[in-house]
Amino acid sequence: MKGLTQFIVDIRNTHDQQEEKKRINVEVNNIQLKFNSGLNDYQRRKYISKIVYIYLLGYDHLIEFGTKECLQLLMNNKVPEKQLGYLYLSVMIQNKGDNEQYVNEIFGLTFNQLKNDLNNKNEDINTIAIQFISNNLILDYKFQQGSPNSNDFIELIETLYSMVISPVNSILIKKKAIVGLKNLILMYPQILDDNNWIPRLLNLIDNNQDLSIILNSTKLIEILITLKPNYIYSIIPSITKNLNDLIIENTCPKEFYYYLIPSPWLIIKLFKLLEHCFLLSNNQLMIDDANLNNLRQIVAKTIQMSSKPIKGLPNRNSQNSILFQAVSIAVFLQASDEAITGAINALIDLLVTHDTNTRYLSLDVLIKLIGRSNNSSSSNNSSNLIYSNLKTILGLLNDRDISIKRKTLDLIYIITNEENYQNIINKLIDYYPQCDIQLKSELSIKIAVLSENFAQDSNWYVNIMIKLISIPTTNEILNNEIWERICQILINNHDLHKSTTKLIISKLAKLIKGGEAISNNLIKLSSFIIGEFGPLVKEDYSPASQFNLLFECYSKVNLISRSMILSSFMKMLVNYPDEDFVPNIVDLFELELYSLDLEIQTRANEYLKLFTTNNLHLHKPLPPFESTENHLLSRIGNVDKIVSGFVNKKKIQQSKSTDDDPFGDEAVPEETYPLSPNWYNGYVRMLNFNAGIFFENQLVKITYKITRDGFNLSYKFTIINNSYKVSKNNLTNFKVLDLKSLTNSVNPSYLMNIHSLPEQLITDKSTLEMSVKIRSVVEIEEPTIISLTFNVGGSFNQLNLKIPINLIKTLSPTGLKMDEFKNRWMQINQLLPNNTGEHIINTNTSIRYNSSNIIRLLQRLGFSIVYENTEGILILGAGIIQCQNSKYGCLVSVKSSQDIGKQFEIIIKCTGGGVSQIIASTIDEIFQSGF
Amino acid sequence: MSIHYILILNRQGKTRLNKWFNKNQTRSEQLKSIGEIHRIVSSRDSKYQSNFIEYQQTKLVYRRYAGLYFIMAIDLNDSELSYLESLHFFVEVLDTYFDNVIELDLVFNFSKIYNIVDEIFLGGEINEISKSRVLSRLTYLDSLDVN
Repeated sequence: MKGLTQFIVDIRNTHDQQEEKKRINVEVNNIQLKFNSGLNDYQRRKYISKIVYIYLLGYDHLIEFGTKECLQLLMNNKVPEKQLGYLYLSVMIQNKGDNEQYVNEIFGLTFNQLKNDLNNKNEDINTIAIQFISNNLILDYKFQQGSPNSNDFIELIETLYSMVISPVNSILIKKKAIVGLKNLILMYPQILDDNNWIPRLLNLIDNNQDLSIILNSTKLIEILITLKPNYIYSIIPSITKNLNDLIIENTCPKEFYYYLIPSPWLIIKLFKLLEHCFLLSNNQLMIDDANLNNLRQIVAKTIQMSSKPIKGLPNRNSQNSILFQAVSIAVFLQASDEAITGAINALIDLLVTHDTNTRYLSLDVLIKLIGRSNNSSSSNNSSNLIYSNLKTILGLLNDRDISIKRKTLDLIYIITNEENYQNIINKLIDYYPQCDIQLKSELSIKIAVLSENFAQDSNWYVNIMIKLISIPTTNEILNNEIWERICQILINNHDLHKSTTKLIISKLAKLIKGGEAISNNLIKLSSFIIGEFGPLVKEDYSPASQFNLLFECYSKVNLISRSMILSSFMKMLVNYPDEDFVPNIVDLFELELYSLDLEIQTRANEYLKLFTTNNLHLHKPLPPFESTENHLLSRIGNVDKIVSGFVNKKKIQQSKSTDDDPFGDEAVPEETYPLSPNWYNGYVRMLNFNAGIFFENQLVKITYKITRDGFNLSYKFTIINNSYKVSKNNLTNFKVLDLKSLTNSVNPSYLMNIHSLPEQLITDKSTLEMSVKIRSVVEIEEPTIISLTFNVGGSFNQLNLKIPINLIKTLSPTGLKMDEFKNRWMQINQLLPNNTGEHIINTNTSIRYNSSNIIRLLQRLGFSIVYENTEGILILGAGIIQCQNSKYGCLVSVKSSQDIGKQFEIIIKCTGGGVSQIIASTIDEIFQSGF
Repeated sequence: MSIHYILILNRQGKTRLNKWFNKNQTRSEQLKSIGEIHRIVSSRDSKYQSNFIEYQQTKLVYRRYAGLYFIMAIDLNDSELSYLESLHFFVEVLDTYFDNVIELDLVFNFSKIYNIVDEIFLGGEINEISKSRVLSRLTYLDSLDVN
């Protein structure tokens, strides 16, 4: 475009800002005229382009017109026109400081256009609209149901969701829609509660997806699992499988290699997501053995690869970024202490390399390694290892790069412990005067927090703090927090008042005598302490000497400090009304009535009034602080956040109205799954038999086998692909989405562990193994719900099935003679009052049973048969229930005297209170459902 | 969002690309940041100082290519090197597309640069990491522009 090029050349030829401005003003007027006179497509494109260029130069305030032309450009279905139209919109619609207004503006101007473009048959047009949504709706704003535009918003988000999961859309559309969907979900997380989207979305990271799709889905999935942490477990196999391909197999499609490395960015993203999984679950993430081993191999291989020769900078950067990322998650993989020590030593070596980036990143990883050790002994070991290289570390405080210095301070902060704090704090105080101005405040706060955290001797603490605030600096305003914190601590600790006051007076006296510079922070603290606690030490330091100290400082300090000294003088008037210096104070107050500083003038005036009107008794000593909160911690810098990976659930979650959540705690609503049809047959079969079919439909059949060893049960499920026989389809994206035990999480009655997961791709069959350890009495309403998801052909399937985790499974036979049986039968009622040891159920069954049926059942359940009566039915049995924490004797009597074989009286007696009812109900359930 | 914004500034501080993903910031805050960032980045020593510096709750990751600074602000917990390398990826794409890119290419094709950015970075994330995919998409988009 010639006109546009000419305009750019003109601008480039201007000599100064003035001339540039003039040229732009001329152009703006010109464009405005043209817009009023009607344009053809070409002209419209040219002028809009000029406007965008003017914006780029920062003159956008000159342009508040052109919306009409822009919308006309957008209505044009040619791709370049539309691209420019949306570009212009994104330039023109700016946040003016009100997020809601910004969102409304976007929707008001573009919603209809966006809707049309998303539904257009042309994929390129869809893409441009998705890009506009993805790029322009990134802000901290949460839609609420019913807020303006929320219907339009929901329509957009639903459209993007269907684009993402549609099996027919191209990779191009999907990879862009994923980003848009992610950004919109952040603005309306509620949508995930209203729809069952997550299971399908989790498939985006599976190994059979295109790498661009996996790359883009990592951030989306990070948000999903932050909102619903119960899904964390289900994505570990996919992350592992992808990393395995890229790192262990060292392969990926050809177009994704970057300087001989298979898709480094994807590796980083996957590592990051994995790290996020660990951090979210507070290091309690349960990973099955196969995947855990695989992950360890992956990390080991990464570290090993880093010793390969490097070919050029891009290769080295990619290699190193992967290495650093891998090492930062090593702590989570239960790596051995030796492995961690090895890693730390290697990183310490890197701290002296010439490459600044490497030094910086090594520091970063060291901080993570130490901060994330999950037990204090290994964290102490690592800290000590680094401490033994303190000289190297302190050397980095004199690096030429402030980024390095900042990270070094973070590292020093995090390795400080009970053993080394004194030395470290002294070293930091020595460094303080030469520290960069930008870091001084952060450093002094770190010193203060460390001293407070580790001090075992309060006098030591006070000494160090006084030393710290005595160091004169140029930007002392920043550090008010520190002396304020010292005051807060002093006021609340009576035993420190006297000693601190002495200390500070002698310090001040020494500085004045030596004619040394006195820091304003020291003066502020001193004037406060002398004013409040001076009378406590008047035996050692006369009131007059205390007054003289402050009076001498008065002229040498800044205005804020002076106003504080005035307050101390007022307190002196209260405490020593008869001293000789009283007139001096009054003179000073009178003099300062003419001060140019408002604060000083006000204080002087008020204090003088108090004195002349005899109202000094109004002054009262300071009451103790009610809050002991340490405000310094909020200014400590980012070190804790680096360690915790900046995981911030609150920010992502939708703010609830206060009615719903009066305490504002972060109780994540429990996911509830509707059980799949026909779940019950398998459930009750599992109560009865130790092997059989757990579930079956046209697509899949799941069989199970339970083996028992006391209170340890192991479950082996075999997932058989039923659809293969009919339609030759594989089961793909097979996932254990969730395994949710309904037992109390604080003191669970059983613990569950998955040992091996099924393959994600099942042609014939695959197995799932898990074990359950029964710790204590498991109630009937504490089963486990397993959720499985998989695709067959293009269809997505979810199964939610109930696995009975039942006390009866721990029953083992015990040989008991009839008379022993009788004795115990009687004893239980005596031992456990109020019939809690006994439970009787009368039950009618639809099928008629004979005694041998029942004997077989009881034996199968784990009773030994003590007595059987073949006329009528009376069967007595005995067994032992074994939990990890206790054992219970269990007796059973099954009697049928009327309508023999169909009407039963079942009595269970058990030595554990309440246990008999659980066993009786279970047996009743088996009788009812048939066996 | 991982990437808060991407900037290309020349040594005098003239903006050659300004792609702002973080819409929480107002335009005047943006312009103020651009000035500050130029001061920070141009005063740093490329030999003895790293390519990373914290700025306003983000990390700036930047590199100088001839007279241009390519700068990206990323989340504090994101991998610096990986994003530094994605800037290089971006530069390589520009270099191939313009056949030895120079500053003037960016000036005269400023709106095209935005289209290129859209193919690599989207909505605050890295969107595509395959150079051949990006380049063939750009060639295709050019073929649609008959003007």
